[in-house]
Amino acid sequence: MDCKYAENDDFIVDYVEGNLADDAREAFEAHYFGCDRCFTQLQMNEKLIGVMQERGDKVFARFKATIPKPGPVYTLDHLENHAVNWIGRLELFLHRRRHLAGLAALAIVVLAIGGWFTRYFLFPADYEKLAKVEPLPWPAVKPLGGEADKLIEQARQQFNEMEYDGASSRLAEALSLKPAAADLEYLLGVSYFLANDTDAAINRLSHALTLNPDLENAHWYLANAYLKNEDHHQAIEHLSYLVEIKSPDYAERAREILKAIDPFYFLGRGF
Amino acid sequence: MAFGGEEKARRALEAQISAMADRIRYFLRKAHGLQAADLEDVAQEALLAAVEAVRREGFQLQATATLSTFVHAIAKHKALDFLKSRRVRRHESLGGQTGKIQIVVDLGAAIANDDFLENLAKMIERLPAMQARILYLIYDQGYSVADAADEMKIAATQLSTLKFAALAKLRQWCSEQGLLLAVAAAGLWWILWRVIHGL
Repeated sequence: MDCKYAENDDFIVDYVEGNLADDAREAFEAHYFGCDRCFTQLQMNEKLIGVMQERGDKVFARFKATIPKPGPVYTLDHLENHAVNWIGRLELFLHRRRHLAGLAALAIVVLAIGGWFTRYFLFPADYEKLAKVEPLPWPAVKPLGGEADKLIEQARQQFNEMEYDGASSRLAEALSLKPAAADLEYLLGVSYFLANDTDAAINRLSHALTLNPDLENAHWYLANAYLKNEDHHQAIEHLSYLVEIKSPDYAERAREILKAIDPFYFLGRGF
Repeated sequence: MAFGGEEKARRALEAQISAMADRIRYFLRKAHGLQAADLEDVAQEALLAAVEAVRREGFQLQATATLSTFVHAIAKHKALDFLKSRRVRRHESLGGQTGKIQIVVDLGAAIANDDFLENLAKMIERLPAMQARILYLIYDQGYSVADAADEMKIAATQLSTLKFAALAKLRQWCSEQGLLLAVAAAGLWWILWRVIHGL
Protein backbone atom coordinates (compact mmCIF):
# COMPACT_ATOMS: atom_id res chain seq x y z
CA MET A 1 0.00 0.00 0.00
CA ASP A 2 1.31 3.44 -0.90
CA CYS A 3 1.74 5.60 2.20
CA LYS A 4 1.02 9.28 1.73
CA TYR A 5 2.47 9.99 5.20
CA ALA A 6 5.79 8.27 4.52
CA GLU A 7 7.63 11.54 4.06
CA ASN A 8 5.90 13.30 6.93
CA ASP A 9 6.52 11.60 10.23
CA ASP A 10 5.97 14.94 11.96
CA PHE A 11 2.31 14.48 11.12
CA ILE A 12 2.31 11.33 13.25
CA VAL A 13 3.84 13.25 16.15
CA ASP A 14 1.09 15.83 15.81
CA TYR A 15 -1.48 13.04 15.92
CA VAL A 16 0.06 11.56 19.06
CA GLU A 17 0.07 14.97 20.73
CA GLY A 18 -3.53 15.69 19.66
CA ASN A 19 -2.61 18.65 17.48
CA LEU A 20 -4.56 17.65 14.36
CA ALA A 21 -7.90 18.98 13.20
CA ASP A 22 -10.79 16.50 13.31
CA ASP A 23 -10.80 15.82 9.58
CA ALA A 24 -7.07 15.24 9.40
CA ARG A 25 -7.18 13.12 12.53
CA GLU A 26 -9.94 10.85 11.24
CA ALA A 27 -8.29 10.50 7.84
CA PHE A 28 -5.05 9.43 9.47
CA GLU A 29 -6.86 7.01 11.79
CA ALA A 30 -8.50 5.34 8.81
CA HIS A 31 -5.09 5.24 7.15
CA TYR A 32 -3.09 3.62 9.93
CA PHE A 33 -5.70 0.87 10.24
CA GLY A 34 -4.25 -0.41 6.99
CA CYS A 35 -0.66 0.91 7.05
CA ASP A 36 1.91 -1.15 8.94
CA ARG A 37 4.58 1.47 8.63
CA CYS A 38 2.51 4.33 10.05
CA PHE A 39 1.17 2.16 12.87
CA THR A 40 4.72 1.16 13.79
CA GLN A 41 5.85 4.82 13.73
CA LEU A 42 2.78 5.78 15.70
CA GLN A 43 3.51 3.27 18.42
CA MET A 44 7.15 4.26 18.56
CA ASN A 45 6.33 7.96 18.90
CA GLU A 46 3.70 7.24 21.49
CA LYS A 47 6.11 5.13 23.49
CA LEU A 48 8.90 7.73 23.32
CA ILE A 49 6.69 10.65 24.22
CA GLY A 50 4.80 8.69 26.87
CA VAL A 51 8.00 7.58 28.57
CA MET A 52 9.41 11.11 28.48
CA GLN A 53 6.22 12.35 30.13
CA GLU A 54 5.84 9.59 32.67
CA ARG A 55 9.49 8.95 33.52
CA GLY A 56 11.03 12.33 32.83
CA ASP A 57 12.73 12.16 36.22
CA LYS A 58 14.88 9.33 34.95
CA VAL A 59 15.30 9.96 31.22
CA PHE A 60 16.08 13.66 31.69
CA ALA A 61 18.22 13.19 34.81
CA ARG A 62 21.50 13.37 32.89
CA PHE A 63 20.35 16.34 30.87
CA LYS A 64 19.15 18.22 33.96
CA ALA A 65 22.57 17.73 35.51
CA THR A 66 24.06 19.74 32.66
CA ILE A 67 21.71 22.70 33.07
CA PRO A 68 23.59 25.57 34.76
CA LYS A 69 22.01 26.79 37.98
CA PRO A 70 20.12 30.04 37.42
CA GLY A 71 21.55 33.14 38.98
CA PRO A 72 19.74 34.95 41.75
CA VAL A 73 16.57 36.75 40.75
CA TYR A 74 16.55 40.09 42.47
CA THR A 75 12.88 40.64 43.03
CA LEU A 76 11.78 42.62 46.08
CA ASP A 77 10.51 39.46 47.77
CA HIS A 78 13.75 37.71 47.03
CA LEU A 79 15.79 40.53 48.48
CA GLU A 80 13.59 40.65 51.57
CA ASN A 81 13.92 36.91 52.05
CA HIS A 82 17.64 37.20 51.45
CA ALA A 83 17.97 39.96 54.03
CA VAL A 84 15.84 38.08 56.56
CA ASN A 85 17.91 35.02 55.91
CA TRP A 86 21.17 36.82 56.56
CA ILE A 87 19.82 38.62 59.59
CA GLY A 88 18.64 35.27 60.93
CA ARG A 89 22.04 33.76 60.34
CA LEU A 90 23.71 36.69 62.06
CA GLU A 91 21.38 36.37 65.05
CA LEU A 92 22.09 32.66 65.31
CA PHE A 93 25.80 33.26 65.04
CA LEU A 94 25.73 35.93 67.71
CA HIS A 95 23.74 33.64 69.97
CA ARG A 96 26.11 30.73 69.57
CA ARG A 97 29.28 32.80 69.64
CA ARG A 98 28.20 35.52 72.00
CA HIS A 99 31.54 35.60 73.86
CA LEU A 100 33.42 35.77 70.62
CA ALA A 101 30.97 38.36 69.37
CA GLY A 102 31.61 40.45 72.49
CA LEU A 103 35.32 40.38 71.88
CA ALA A 104 34.77 41.25 68.25
CA ALA A 105 32.60 44.20 69.24
CA LEU A 106 35.28 45.35 71.70
CA ALA A 107 37.93 45.00 69.04
CA ILE A 108 35.82 47.10 66.70
CA VAL A 109 35.43 49.80 69.36
CA VAL A 110 39.15 49.80 70.12
CA LEU A 111 40.01 49.96 66.44
CA ALA A 112 37.58 52.82 65.96
CA ILE A 113 39.05 54.78 68.87
CA GLY A 114 42.56 53.95 67.75
CA GLY A 115 41.75 55.06 64.27
CA TRP A 116 40.37 58.33 65.62
CA PHE A 117 43.55 59.13 67.51
CA THR A 118 45.84 57.72 64.86
CA ARG A 119 44.88 60.61 62.69
CA TYR A 120 47.11 62.80 64.89
CA PHE A 121 50.09 60.65 63.96
CA LEU A 122 49.14 60.39 60.34
CA PHE A 123 48.49 64.12 60.10
CA PRO A 124 50.76 65.77 62.70
CA ALA A 125 49.85 69.19 63.95
CA ASP A 126 51.63 72.24 62.64
CA TYR A 127 53.33 73.35 65.84
CA GLU A 128 54.76 76.45 64.23
CA LYS A 129 51.26 77.58 63.49
CA LEU A 130 50.00 76.61 66.92
CA ALA A 131 52.86 78.46 68.60
CA LYS A 132 52.32 81.61 66.64
CA VAL A 133 51.24 84.14 69.21
CA GLU A 134 50.02 87.58 68.49
CA PRO A 135 51.69 90.29 70.62
CA LEU A 136 49.64 91.38 73.56
CA PRO A 137 48.88 94.99 74.28
CA TRP A 138 51.45 96.43 76.59
CA PRO A 139 50.23 95.85 80.11
CA ALA A 140 50.11 98.37 82.86
CA VAL A 141 53.37 98.19 84.82
CA LYS A 142 53.65 99.26 88.43
CA PRO A 143 55.90 102.36 88.60
CA LEU A 144 59.36 101.54 89.90
CA GLY A 145 60.57 105.09 90.17
CA GLY A 146 63.56 106.90 88.77
CA GLU A 147 65.51 105.87 85.67
CA ALA A 148 63.77 102.52 85.44
CA ASP A 149 60.42 104.09 84.61
CA LYS A 150 61.98 106.09 81.78
CA LEU A 151 63.52 102.96 80.34
CA ILE A 152 60.23 101.10 80.66
CA GLU A 153 58.41 103.89 78.82
CA GLN A 154 60.96 103.77 76.00
CA ALA A 155 60.57 99.99 75.90
CA ARG A 156 56.80 100.36 75.63
CA GLN A 157 57.09 102.70 72.67
CA GLN A 158 59.47 100.38 70.86
CA PHE A 159 57.33 97.36 71.73
CA ASN A 160 54.26 98.99 70.25
CA GLU A 161 56.29 99.84 67.15
CA MET A 162 57.26 96.15 66.95
CA GLU A 163 60.94 96.99 67.59
CA TYR A 164 61.28 94.03 69.93
CA ASP A 165 65.10 94.02 69.98
CA GLY A 166 65.18 97.65 71.18
CA ALA A 167 62.42 96.97 73.70
CA SER A 168 64.42 94.01 74.99
CA SER A 169 67.49 96.18 75.50
CA ARG A 170 65.56 98.87 77.39
CA LEU A 171 63.84 96.30 79.59
CA ALA A 172 67.16 94.54 80.33
CA GLU A 173 68.62 97.90 81.41
CA ALA A 174 65.61 98.57 83.63
CA LEU A 175 65.98 95.13 85.19
CA SER A 176 69.60 95.87 85.99
CA LEU A 177 68.30 98.79 88.00
CA LYS A 178 65.40 96.99 89.60
CA PRO A 179 66.19 93.25 89.72
CA ALA A 180 63.64 90.68 90.87
CA ALA A 181 60.75 92.54 89.27
CA ALA A 182 58.44 89.83 87.92
CA ASP A 183 56.56 92.18 85.57
CA LEU A 184 59.80 93.32 83.92
CA GLU A 185 61.08 89.77 83.59
CA TYR A 186 57.81 88.80 81.92
CA LEU A 187 57.88 91.75 79.47
CA LEU A 188 61.49 91.05 78.65
CA GLY A 189 60.70 87.38 78.00
CA VAL A 190 57.81 88.33 75.71
CA SER A 191 60.04 90.77 73.85
CA TYR A 192 62.65 88.10 73.33
CA PHE A 193 59.95 85.68 72.21
CA LEU A 194 58.57 88.13 69.66
CA ALA A 195 62.12 88.82 68.51
CA ASN A 196 62.44 85.05 67.89
CA ASP A 197 65.11 84.62 70.59
CA THR A 198 63.33 81.69 72.17
CA ASP A 199 66.18 80.55 74.43
CA ALA A 200 66.43 84.01 76.04
CA ALA A 201 62.63 84.16 76.20
CA ILE A 202 62.49 80.83 78.04
CA ASN A 203 65.15 82.00 80.45
CA ARG A 204 63.38 85.28 81.30
CA LEU A 205 59.86 83.87 81.42
CA SER A 206 61.01 81.04 83.70
CA HIS A 207 62.59 83.62 85.95
CA ALA A 208 59.40 85.67 85.98
CA LEU A 209 57.40 82.60 87.02
CA THR A 210 59.91 81.92 89.76
CA LEU A 211 59.16 85.38 91.08
CA ASN A 212 55.40 85.09 90.50
CA PRO A 213 54.05 81.62 89.58
CA ASP A 214 50.55 83.00 88.99
CA LEU A 215 51.44 84.99 85.90
CA GLU A 216 49.13 83.31 83.37
CA ASN A 217 50.56 85.29 80.46
CA ALA A 218 54.05 84.11 81.37
CA HIS A 219 52.90 80.48 81.36
CA TRP A 220 51.33 80.98 77.96
CA TYR A 221 54.35 82.57 76.32
CA LEU A 222 56.71 80.14 77.95
CA ALA A 223 54.70 77.17 76.67
CA ASN A 224 54.80 78.59 73.17
CA ALA A 225 58.53 79.24 73.43
CA TYR A 226 59.03 75.60 74.33
CA LEU A 227 56.86 74.58 71.40
CA LYS A 228 59.06 76.60 69.07
CA ASN A 229 62.03 74.76 70.47
CA GLU A 230 60.10 71.48 70.05
CA ASP A 231 60.38 70.79 73.77
CA HIS A 232 56.88 69.34 74.07
CA HIS A 233 57.35 67.96 77.53
CA GLN A 234 58.00 71.41 79.02
CA ALA A 235 55.27 72.98 76.87
CA ILE A 236 52.73 70.45 78.12
CA GLU A 237 53.57 71.32 81.74
CA HIS A 238 52.66 75.01 81.30
CA LEU A 239 49.70 74.39 78.99
CA SER A 240 48.29 71.90 81.52
CA TYR A 241 48.57 74.52 84.20
CA LEU A 242 46.48 76.93 82.11
CA VAL A 243 43.85 74.24 81.52
CA GLU A 244 43.79 73.24 85.18
CA ILE A 245 43.26 76.76 86.45
CA LYS A 246 40.70 77.26 83.66
CA SER A 247 42.40 80.42 82.52
CA PRO A 248 39.73 82.56 80.87
CA ASP A 249 42.17 83.77 78.19
CA TYR A 250 44.23 80.65 77.50
CA ALA A 251 42.50 77.45 78.71
CA GLU A 252 40.66 76.67 75.46
CA ARG A 253 43.64 77.37 73.23
CA ALA A 254 45.90 75.41 75.55
CA ARG A 255 43.50 72.45 75.35
CA GLU A 256 43.62 72.44 71.54
CA ILE A 257 47.40 72.50 71.54
CA LEU A 258 47.59 69.72 74.11
CA LYS A 259 45.26 67.52 71.98
CA ALA A 260 47.40 68.19 68.96
CA ILE A 261 50.60 67.31 70.81
CA ASP A 262 49.30 64.20 72.61
CA PRO A 263 45.93 62.69 71.59
CA PHE A 264 45.87 60.49 74.69
CA TYR A 265 46.66 63.36 77.05
CA PHE A 266 43.11 63.76 78.31
CA LEU A 267 42.43 60.02 78.77
CA GLY A 268 41.95 59.34 82.47
CA ARG A 269 42.20 62.99 83.37
CA GLY A 270 39.40 64.82 84.98
CA PHE A 271 39.45 67.78 82.67
CA MET B 1 -15.38 -15.94 -9.90
CA ALA B 2 -16.19 -19.48 -8.63
CA PHE B 3 -18.00 -19.98 -5.33
CA GLY B 4 -14.82 -21.46 -3.80
CA GLY B 5 -12.93 -18.41 -4.92
CA GLU B 6 -15.42 -16.07 -3.21
CA GLU B 7 -15.14 -18.03 -0.01
CA LYS B 8 -11.39 -17.87 -0.19
CA ALA B 9 -11.51 -14.16 -0.78
CA ARG B 10 -13.91 -13.71 2.15
CA ARG B 11 -11.61 -15.68 4.43
CA ALA B 12 -8.67 -13.55 3.34
CA LEU B 13 -10.75 -10.49 4.04
CA GLU B 14 -11.66 -11.73 7.51
CA ALA B 15 -8.01 -12.47 8.18
CA GLN B 16 -7.12 -8.94 7.22
CA ILE B 17 -9.78 -7.57 9.54
CA SER B 18 -8.54 -9.75 12.41
CA ALA B 19 -5.05 -8.46 11.79
CA MET B 20 -6.34 -4.98 12.59
CA ALA B 21 -7.24 -5.96 16.17
CA ASP B 22 -4.20 -4.17 17.67
CA ARG B 23 -4.99 -0.99 15.74
CA ILE B 24 -8.61 -1.08 16.79
CA ARG B 25 -7.56 -1.38 20.44
CA TYR B 26 -5.04 1.43 20.02
CA PHE B 27 -7.63 3.62 18.30
CA LEU B 28 -10.24 3.02 20.99
CA ARG B 29 -7.78 3.90 23.72
CA LYS B 30 -6.22 6.86 21.94
CA ALA B 31 -9.23 8.46 20.28
CA HIS B 32 -11.99 7.57 22.75
CA GLY B 33 -10.14 7.00 25.99
CA LEU B 34 -11.41 3.48 26.59
CA GLN B 35 -9.48 1.43 29.09
CA ALA B 36 -8.95 -2.20 30.06
CA ALA B 37 -12.07 -4.41 29.97
CA ASP B 38 -14.29 -1.86 28.21
CA LEU B 39 -11.68 -1.43 25.54
CA GLU B 40 -11.43 -5.15 24.90
CA ASP B 41 -15.23 -5.59 24.78
CA VAL B 42 -15.72 -2.76 22.31
CA ALA B 43 -12.77 -3.98 20.19
CA GLN B 44 -14.29 -7.46 19.99
CA GLU B 45 -17.68 -5.98 19.07
CA ALA B 46 -16.10 -3.90 16.33
CA LEU B 47 -14.20 -6.88 14.94
CA LEU B 48 -17.29 -9.09 14.91
CA ALA B 49 -19.41 -6.35 13.36
CA ALA B 50 -16.85 -5.86 10.61
CA VAL B 51 -16.65 -9.57 9.86
CA GLU B 52 -20.44 -9.96 9.91
CA ALA B 53 -20.86 -6.99 7.61
CA VAL B 54 -18.48 -8.56 5.17
CA ARG B 55 -20.37 -11.87 5.31
CA ARG B 56 -23.84 -10.28 5.17
CA GLU B 57 -23.30 -7.67 2.53
CA GLY B 58 -20.70 -9.46 0.54
CA PHE B 59 -18.25 -6.60 0.87
CA GLN B 60 -15.90 -6.65 -2.04
CA LEU B 61 -12.32 -5.91 -1.21
CA GLN B 62 -11.13 -3.31 -3.65
CA ALA B 63 -8.17 -1.94 -1.81
CA THR B 64 -6.62 -2.11 1.65
CA ALA B 65 -7.34 1.60 2.06
CA THR B 66 -11.05 0.98 1.58
CA LEU B 67 -11.07 -1.86 4.09
CA SER B 68 -9.22 0.17 6.69
CA THR B 69 -11.66 3.06 6.27
CA PHE B 70 -14.54 0.60 6.63
CA VAL B 71 -13.14 -0.98 9.81
CA HIS B 72 -12.26 2.41 11.23
CA ALA B 73 -15.81 3.64 10.72
CA ILE B 74 -17.23 0.56 12.45
CA ALA B 75 -14.81 0.90 15.36
CA LYS B 76 -15.67 4.58 15.71
CA HIS B 77 -19.43 3.89 15.76
CA LYS B 78 -19.03 1.12 18.27
CA ALA B 79 -17.02 3.36 20.52
CA LEU B 80 -19.56 6.19 20.30
CA ASP B 81 -22.42 3.79 20.95
CA PHE B 82 -20.61 2.46 23.99
CA LEU B 83 -19.87 5.90 25.36
CA LYS B 84 -23.42 7.05 24.69
CA SER B 85 -24.81 4.04 26.51
CA ARG B 86 -22.59 4.79 29.46
CA ARG B 87 -23.49 8.48 29.22
CA VAL B 88 -19.85 9.17 29.18
CA ARG B 89 -18.55 11.84 26.98
CA ARG B 90 -15.13 11.56 25.55
CA HIS B 91 -13.62 14.61 27.17
CA GLU B 92 -14.97 13.42 30.51
CA SER B 93 -13.36 10.05 30.05
CA LEU B 94 -10.11 11.88 29.45
CA GLY B 95 -10.61 13.97 32.56
CA GLY B 96 -11.57 17.07 30.61
CA GLN B 97 -7.92 18.02 30.41
CA THR B 98 -7.09 20.98 28.23
CA GLY B 99 -3.52 21.80 29.16
CA LYS B 100 -0.68 19.36 28.96
CA ILE B 101 -1.44 16.63 26.43
CA GLN B 102 -1.08 13.38 28.28
CA ILE B 103 -0.37 10.44 26.06
CA VAL B 104 -2.62 7.51 26.94
CA VAL B 105 -0.38 4.55 26.41
CA ASP B 106 0.33 1.31 28.10
CA LEU B 107 3.83 1.94 29.37
CA GLY B 108 4.00 -1.10 31.61
CA ALA B 109 6.67 -2.93 29.69
CA ALA B 110 8.63 0.17 28.78
CA ILE B 111 8.63 1.67 32.26
CA ALA B 112 9.49 -1.63 33.87
CA ASN B 113 12.47 -1.88 31.56
CA ASP B 114 15.24 0.12 33.18
CA ASP B 115 17.53 -0.61 30.25
CA PHE B 116 15.15 1.20 27.93
CA LEU B 117 15.01 4.22 30.22
CA GLU B 118 18.78 4.23 30.56
CA ASN B 119 19.25 3.99 26.80
CA LEU B 120 16.73 6.75 26.20
CA ALA B 121 18.54 8.94 28.72
CA LYS B 122 21.78 8.33 26.84
CA MET B 123 20.09 9.17 23.55
CA ILE B 124 18.76 12.42 24.94
CA GLU B 125 22.24 13.21 26.22
CA ARG B 126 23.59 12.73 22.70
CA LEU B 127 21.11 15.23 21.27
CA PRO B 128 22.18 18.83 20.67
CA ALA B 129 21.62 20.78 23.90
CA MET B 130 18.87 22.91 22.41
CA GLN B 131 16.90 19.91 21.16
CA ALA B 132 17.28 18.10 24.46
CA ARG B 133 16.08 21.19 26.28
CA ILE B 134 13.02 21.42 24.07
CA LEU B 135 12.07 17.82 24.85
CA TYR B 136 12.70 18.49 28.53
CA LEU B 137 10.55 21.59 28.62
CA ILE B 138 7.64 20.15 26.66
CA TYR B 139 7.46 16.56 27.88
CA ASP B 140 8.90 16.74 31.38
CA GLN B 141 8.00 20.27 32.46
CA GLY B 142 4.70 20.38 30.55
CA TYR B 143 5.37 23.61 28.66
CA SER B 144 3.24 24.40 25.64
CA VAL B 145 5.10 25.04 22.40
CA ALA B 146 4.46 28.78 22.74
CA ASP B 147 5.66 28.89 26.36
CA ALA B 148 8.73 26.82 25.56
CA ALA B 149 9.51 29.13 22.65
CA ASP B 150 9.25 32.14 24.96
CA GLU B 151 11.46 30.45 27.50
CA MET B 152 14.11 29.67 24.90
CA LYS B 153 13.65 32.98 23.10
CA ILE B 154 13.12 31.40 19.68
CA ALA B 155 10.16 31.32 17.29
CA ALA B 156 7.47 28.72 17.93
CA THR B 157 7.85 27.36 14.41
CA GLN B 158 11.59 26.97 14.91
CA LEU B 159 10.96 25.19 18.17
CA SER B 160 8.50 22.79 16.50
CA THR B 161 11.03 22.02 13.78
CA LEU B 162 13.71 21.29 16.36
CA LYS B 163 11.30 19.14 18.36
CA PHE B 164 10.41 17.04 15.32
CA ALA B 165 14.10 16.69 14.46
CA ALA B 166 14.88 15.51 17.99
CA LEU B 167 12.07 12.96 17.94
CA ALA B 168 13.19 11.73 14.49
CA LYS B 169 16.69 11.09 15.86
CA LEU B 170 15.29 9.24 18.84
CA ARG B 171 13.10 7.12 16.58
CA GLN B 172 16.07 6.36 14.36
CA TRP B 173 18.23 5.32 17.31
CA CYS B 174 15.39 3.23 18.70
CA SER B 175 15.02 1.50 15.35
CA GLU B 176 18.74 0.84 15.14
CA GLN B 177 18.71 -0.50 18.64
CA GLY B 178 15.72 -2.69 17.81
CA LEU B 179 17.52 -3.99 14.72
CA LEU B 180 20.63 -4.77 16.73
CA LEU B 181 18.55 -6.58 19.31
CA ALA B 182 16.84 -8.57 16.56
CA VAL B 183 20.22 -9.53 15.04
CA ALA B 184 21.53 -10.46 18.47
CA ALA B 185 18.44 -12.53 19.20
CA ALA B 186 18.75 -14.29 15.84
CA GLY B 187 22.41 -15.01 16.55
CA LEU B 188 21.58 -16.49 19.94
CA TRP B 189 18.80 -18.55 18.44
CA TRP B 190 21.14 -19.85 15.74
CA ILE B 191 23.77 -20.82 18.35
CA LEU B 192 21.10 -22.52 20.47
CA TRP B 193 19.77 -24.38 17.45
CA ARG B 194 23.28 -25.58 16.57
CA VAL B 195 23.85 -26.72 20.13
CA ILE B 196 20.54 -28.57 20.28
CA HIS B 197 21.21 -30.30 17.01
CA GLY B 198 24.73 -31.27 17.90
CA LEU B 199 26.48 -28.65 15.80
